[in-house]
Parts: sequence; structure tokens; C-alpha cells
Amino acid sequence: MVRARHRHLVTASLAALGLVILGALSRCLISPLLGSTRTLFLLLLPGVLVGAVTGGLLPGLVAAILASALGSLLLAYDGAPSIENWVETLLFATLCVLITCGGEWLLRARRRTAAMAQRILERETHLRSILDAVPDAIIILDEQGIVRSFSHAAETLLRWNAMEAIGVNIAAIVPELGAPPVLDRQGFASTARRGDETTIPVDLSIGRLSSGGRPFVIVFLRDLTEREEADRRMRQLQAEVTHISRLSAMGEMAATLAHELNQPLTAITNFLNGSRRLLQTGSGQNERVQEAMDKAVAQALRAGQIIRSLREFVSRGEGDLGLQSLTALVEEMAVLALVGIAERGINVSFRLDSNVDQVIADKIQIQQVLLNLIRNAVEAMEDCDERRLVVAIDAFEGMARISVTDSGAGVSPEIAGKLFEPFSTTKDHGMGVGLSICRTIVEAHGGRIWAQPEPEGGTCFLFTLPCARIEGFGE
Amino acid sequence: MKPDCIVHVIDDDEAVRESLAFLLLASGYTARTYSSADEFLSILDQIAHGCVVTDIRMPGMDGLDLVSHLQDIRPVLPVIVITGHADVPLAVQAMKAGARDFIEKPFDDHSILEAVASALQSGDEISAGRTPAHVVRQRIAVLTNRERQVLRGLVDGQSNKAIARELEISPRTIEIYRANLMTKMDARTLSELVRMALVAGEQLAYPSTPPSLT
Repeated sequence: MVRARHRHLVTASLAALGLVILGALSRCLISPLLGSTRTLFLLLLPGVLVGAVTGGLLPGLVAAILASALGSLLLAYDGAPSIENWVETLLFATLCVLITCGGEWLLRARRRTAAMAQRILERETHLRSILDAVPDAIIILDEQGIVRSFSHAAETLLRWNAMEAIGVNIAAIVPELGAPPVLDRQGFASTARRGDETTIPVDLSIGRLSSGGRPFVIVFLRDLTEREEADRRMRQLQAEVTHISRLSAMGEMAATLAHELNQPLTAITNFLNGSRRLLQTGSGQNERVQEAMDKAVAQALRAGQIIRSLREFVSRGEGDLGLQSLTALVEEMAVLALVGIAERGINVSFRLDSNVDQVIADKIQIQQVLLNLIRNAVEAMEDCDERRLVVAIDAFEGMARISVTDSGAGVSPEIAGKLFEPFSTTKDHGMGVGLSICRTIVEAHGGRIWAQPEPEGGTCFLFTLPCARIEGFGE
Repeated sequence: MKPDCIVHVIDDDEAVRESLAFLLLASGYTARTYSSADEFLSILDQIAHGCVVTDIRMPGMDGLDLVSHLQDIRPVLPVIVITGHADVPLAVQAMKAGARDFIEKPFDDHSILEAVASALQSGDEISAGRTPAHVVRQRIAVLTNRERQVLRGLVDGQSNKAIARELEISPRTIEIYRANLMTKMDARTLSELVRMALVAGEQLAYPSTPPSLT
């Protein structure tokens, strides 16, 4: 830097000196033609000017001294030195110094401007790199919706080259933002067209800014592909859990189902055996035999009905018992069970007693019970104005007790008695086995499940599980 | 009609109790049906003799509670338990509570009619139809140690799996031991096996020496 400046000074000085000498030589050549000495100093001036303007003080002064000295010598050579010549030389020297000072001042001003421009450039680079580091794509538009700035993230996200994108109407990129651009909207989903003609879901936030007295619109775009992917995976996971719960339900239901099938089979066997005995004795009680046959047929149909209801179920492997954190289990399940019901305006709250935590349970099965109870609760509140769902864990008779309370219409008396019986349902869809499965699962864990009406309306389903450890229980 | 042969059928499933009553009727018995244990108990005072056939899983008082209750107030009234949820622990529980027989639904007419006939015989006649205790003890004496352990597990009301875990062998092997037990003990039904094991309870509690190789 310093060396460059020195070199510049030397170059400027040499150029100035050269010009001064050139001026003097010109004077020598021209003066015989003019026959006058009046234009002498004028020819020396360009060297000084060049020195002062390009090199500042030093080259200016060097050129001034040389020019004054040469001028004085030439004047002396032309005629006898007189007071007039001395005055003229002095005036010229003074003028040269003034010019040199002016040149120096100009040079400094130029340097200041250059430094300032450098700082501005650095700051802009800095801001630019910050903007480029923002993960959201940023597009700045003017009032007409023409793209004025296109961030690096925008290039990556939208696969447009910034140079191509600038000057394009935003409608070509985000059709929904067609002229006139929508202002001051935060976080709404839309679709953006990419440079390669594909489209992606984006989340848009739009703000206003003004720069240099002109209004601009700033658009932030966030890629929703990943979020949609996450949502999709969440839904898939939920479907899997539901599927597992159905598989699991079948396994858990096996005993109940066997019983359900055994009843009609028992009746059929009895009716047929009884009929055969009557026929063997030949007592001529044909009417009674016919009656028994009719009843046997009805029972066979009943068994068929049960089989039909089961067709969609399939068997599954055995679940594994293990030490489980009940709070973690409940929270994990609630995330899945409550997906997609946020928009139903249900106020969900948890009251989890952290002292009651460790239980010995088959995680998936208990989650299935919870899923069932939570889903039931959500469905029960479908037609209600006030929708509250409370999931709670507390200690009860030395066991961990989990409750799911809704503010729904409650359970009608005729169904209340056989809530946990299989194939009793009030729903249009479903087999009515959910709560029966819940009971099977809970009882297999050594717990108990029951329902009680809430004083302010709604129903509370509760079940207990043996605790591995209850801290502070009984205090 | 056979005398004193009223069979009281208790089952919450109408088809089951009606069909059983029909079968009994066709076999010459008089049957009365009740939809719950409580309904039966409410008219118990009017019943002098006969036997009871009851389901286990019912609303209100269940079959096992009824067996225990009858054992307390009317020990002479024999009770046959029928269930669709048949498993060893439940059978053991029923036999221990005092049930005379434990029959799995659906059943053929011979097993239920035999059980009813046996139940309706009184006093000494009952034990006459049964394997005498000393015969049971002889049979148990020839069991291997492992078989005895499995039998003890069964009588304790444990599932195959639980016994397998305790003995550190596979549940499949337990099934084989069970089959062997049935043969060696000359038991036709599980309830017969359990009944014999209960008779010889003390003998089972202490493994005989020297332990046989299994």
C-alpha cells in the first residue's frame, strides 16, 4: 500500500518534471518566433498542474521549484535581470504553490471518497452474505411486482438464476402474488413455480420496506416440502399404529371371540344332540324337533355374523411386557392420538403426576387403550359446544391410574351397563369391540377399567396398571 | 322322568341355556333355566336336590363366585361349570372352589350328560364313580420328577408359558409333558386330571427321591 503510494508519487513527480522540462524546451523553440518573453511561464504551468493534481503536494512542489528555477534562468538568459522578472518569477512561484495546495486537497478528497466507497462495498458484501445465510428465500419487489432482488436461498429453492429472475414479474414465480401484490400477510401456504417448471409448496410471509424513498415489497418463502413430508410421515405412522392396534386387537380379542363363537356353537350342538335323542326314542315329538332345528339354524347364522364382523382382522405376534415410563408413554401417544384434531377446537390438558411413572406394561397395547379412549372422547364431543379433554395420571389404591375425561354428552343408560361388552356400539362404523379390547388389555396387565359420568356432563374413563414404583405413595 | 333329577341351568346367553335345557329334556331330565346367578340364588330356598350347571362369565355374580357361595351354604348341591374361556388356570380355580366338573364349550352330549348323571348320584355313589385316592397316589408315584413339576404347576393354576419359564424349558415341551400326564394318570379330561392332582396335593408338594432323570 505504502510502496504503491511511493511509486505513484515518484511517477507523478517524474511526469510533472518531464512536462516542466518539455514546457521549457517548447519555450526555447517558440520564443524566437514570438520574439517576446510574455508567454514563458504559461508553458511551464501544465507540468506543475499535472504534478499537483496527480501526485499532490510533493510532486507539485518539486515541479513548482523546477519550473520557477527554469523560468528564472530562462528570463535571465533572455535579458538582463530586472526587478520585473523577479516579481514575475515570485508570482509564478506563489501561483504554483497555491495550485499544489489545491491539488493536494483534491487528492485527499478523492482518497476519502474511495475509502468510503470501499467501506460501503464491504458492508454491502457483509449484509449480502447475512441475507444469503438466511434459510428462507428472500425476494424483493417494487410496486409493480417486478423482482428487484433475489437471494441466494431463493436461487437454490426456486432454481432460478438471480440474473434471470431480476426484472421478472413475481406472478411468474408465485402466481398467487400476481399484480397487485398482496401485502402484510404472514405465513400462508402457496405454491411456487420453479425455474425447471416444477412446483413446490411454500410458506409465504410478506412485508413492506422503503428504500431511497421508494416503497418495496419483501417476500420470504419457506420450503414446505419437508414439513409436508413430516406431516405425511406422521399420518403414515398414525395409520401404522392404527393398523397395529387392529392386529393387536385381534390377538387380544382371540379369547373374547372364541367365547362369542362358542356360545352359538354350544347351542347348535345341544339342539342337534337333543333332536337326535328325541328322534332315536321315536317319541313322535316332531314339532319339538323342528323347533329345535329352527333354533339351531338361527344360532348358526349368529356364528356366521360374528365371523363376518371379524373378516378384516388378522392375527398378530405376542406383545412384550417391560418397564415403561407412563408419562412418556401417555405423552407419546397423545401426540399421535391428537394429530388432526387441533382444528376441532378441543381444549386438551394433561395432569400427569410425575410420582406415578414406572409401570410394567406392553407399551403398544397400553397406547392402544389410550388411543381408543382418546379417540372415543374426541368423537363423543363432536356435537358439543364446549370441548374439553383431560388426560390424567395419579395414584389410586397402590396402582397407577390413568383417566381420560371428556365434556361430551355422556353415555346413555341403556348402553352404560355393557360398555365393555364386545359388539355393543353406538357408532355408525366400527364393530364395537374397542372398549372390550381395552378391557382385555387392561385386565391382562392386572388392572381394571371402568367409566363414570362427570358431574358437569361428559364421561370419565379410568384404568389402573400395577406400578413398578410409586414415590411418596401413602404419605 | 328320572326322579330328583332337576338340572338348574344358569347362563346369561339365552340360546345356550335353552338349548342345554332342550338336550337335558330330550335325555329325560327336568331342566330349569336362569339368566343369572342372582336369579338362581333368589329361589334357592325352594330347591331341595338336583344339580347346577353354570357358565362362568356372566353379568353380576360370576360362575366361580357362585360355586364358592354354594360351597358355603349348600355344599351338597353339585355344580358343573361350563365355559367358553377354558384354560387350565380357570379349570383349577373352578375345581378348587368346589366345582364337581369343568366342561369346555362347546361340548358333546356325552360329556355333559355323564357329568350331570354323576353329579345327580348322591353321597357314596359319587366317590364310587371316581378314581379312589390310593389309586391316584399310585399313579402319581410313577410320574417322573419333571412330570410332577408340570402337574404341580398346572394345579397351581399356572399357564403353560409360566410353567415353561419356571422350569426353563419350552412351552412345547410342557405340552408334551401334559399329554404324558394325561396318559399316565389315565385322565380323559383336564378336570379329571386336576381333580386327581388335588386329591394327591400333598404328595405333589414334595418331590419323591431319588429324582428320576428326564
